[in-house]
Amino acid sequence: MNKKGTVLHWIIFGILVALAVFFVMSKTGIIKQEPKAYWSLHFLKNNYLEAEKILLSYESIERIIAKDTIQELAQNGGLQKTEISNCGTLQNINLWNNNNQWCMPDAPKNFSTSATAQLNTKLPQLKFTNLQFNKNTFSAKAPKQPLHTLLLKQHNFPSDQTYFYDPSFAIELSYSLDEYTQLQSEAKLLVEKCRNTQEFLTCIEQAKPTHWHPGFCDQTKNPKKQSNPKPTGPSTIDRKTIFCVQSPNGYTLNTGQANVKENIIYTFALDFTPSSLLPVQDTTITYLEAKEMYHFQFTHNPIAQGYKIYYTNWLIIKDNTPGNAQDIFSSVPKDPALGFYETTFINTANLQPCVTQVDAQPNQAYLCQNKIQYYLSNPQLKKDISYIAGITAHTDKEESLLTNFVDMASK
Amino acid sequence: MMDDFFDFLFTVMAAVFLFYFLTFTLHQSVKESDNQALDELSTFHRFDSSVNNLRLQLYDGQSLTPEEIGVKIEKSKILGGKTITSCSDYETQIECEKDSAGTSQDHPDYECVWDKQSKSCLSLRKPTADIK
Repeated sequence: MNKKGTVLHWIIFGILVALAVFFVMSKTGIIKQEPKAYWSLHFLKNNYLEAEKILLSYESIERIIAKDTIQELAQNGGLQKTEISNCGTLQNINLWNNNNQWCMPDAPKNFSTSATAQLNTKLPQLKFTNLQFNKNTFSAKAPKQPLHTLLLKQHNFPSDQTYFYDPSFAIELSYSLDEYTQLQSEAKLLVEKCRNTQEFLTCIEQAKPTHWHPGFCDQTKNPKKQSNPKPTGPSTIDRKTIFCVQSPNGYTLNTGQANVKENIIYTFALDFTPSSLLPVQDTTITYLEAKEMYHFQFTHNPIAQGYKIYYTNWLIIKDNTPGNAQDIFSSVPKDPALGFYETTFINTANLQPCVTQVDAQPNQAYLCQNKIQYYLSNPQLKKDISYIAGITAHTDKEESLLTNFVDMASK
Repeated sequence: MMDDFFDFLFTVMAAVFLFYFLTFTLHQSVKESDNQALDELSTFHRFDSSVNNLRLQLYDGQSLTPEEIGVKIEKSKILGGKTITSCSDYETQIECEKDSAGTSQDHPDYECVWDKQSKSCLSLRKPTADIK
């Protein structure tokens, strides 16, 4: 073997020895290589995916906030939990009107205020702005957030990775605050229709839309969801009444469980105080032969300070009703020989407690279970002449209309 | 003359050995690297699908706490080419009731129940008697 051949042999042996040493040292016999697309995969996993997880967790919080705020507003008549209506409350339920004043809630503004407060509490690191609830989309803007991750130094990548994600959101909900506009229109119509009727509760029953229910919401169905304390009194006081209204568009809220939805229920109260003094309409008159007195009976109006009983033999004025008593009686002839016309006053301050007809005194008024009973005795009234009578209620400022006359039959 | 022939034969055999040996070794390491990258990619796809599944769950009105999100994504499984993150990802009654991915494992009070009306798999609380 020549010298060159020997060198080649030794080189080959050297390589084989080197390989043997490599195998012994590496144990696995596999040459470690960087995984392919290390940077890209690291970026996807630790930046993109992490940001998606964060955004998903934000969305879950935002959806809960939207749901809670919608419910809070609905249960407080469109106002925030801590707010009280300018029109006052009835049994802790906000009133939407008081006499002639309307205090309609600005639901979008209240939603925005309440939701912003909750977002700032639950996600304080994101400075949300321009929060709104347009149509059925709940949205807000927030500055982009950086997500820093460190690449392992052993992979010799030159820099850290920073990924910016945008936490602004626009969540579509199966609900719209426009529903308040509809409810407010319905409320105004109902009040206009029923406020000037004596039996306003009957009027409400007949005129209310089908999704309106007078009274408290049934707390037994969902006691945890009610923010208001359990009612202890009646739902109607002094012509003010509470309503429990189902969503007119059938909107529902998610409960957190699949396929289980919760109805949206609005709670508020309305005031049906009449715009003018209500006329007296349910008068009955009977003649008490034994006592020679006329017995008048009609429903008491708590606002009235007194009543005027007009009676006459000028029967044709019957056709002039309804109208102002003064105008109606202006056609009665001034000459007593032609037309007889008398007025009697009842002052509510002088109402006597209820007594039986036997004990009743002439020209005295008694209050018997919300009914006024008046015993009229006037020697000028002749048995063989027909008379009619009409009653009006009055206060310091006004007198009600005279809507009808009743025959004073003495036979 | 014979020495030279054996030298030649030795050299050729050593070269062949080295060629195959190095080719095998290097190929193995490249394959290993490929597999590692593919594993990472498949994990990423599983996680990404899982995030989408959870997003759908949110759209569907189910509640999801931020704490649950990470756990559900980590524990998601691929069954028949579909990523299963929670009960609602099962498409058939058999899959739903079997719950092969064990989505309810962390919540022993809950189980996957097939809702015939909506034809979907729901995560429902077990009747009180079944909770141990």
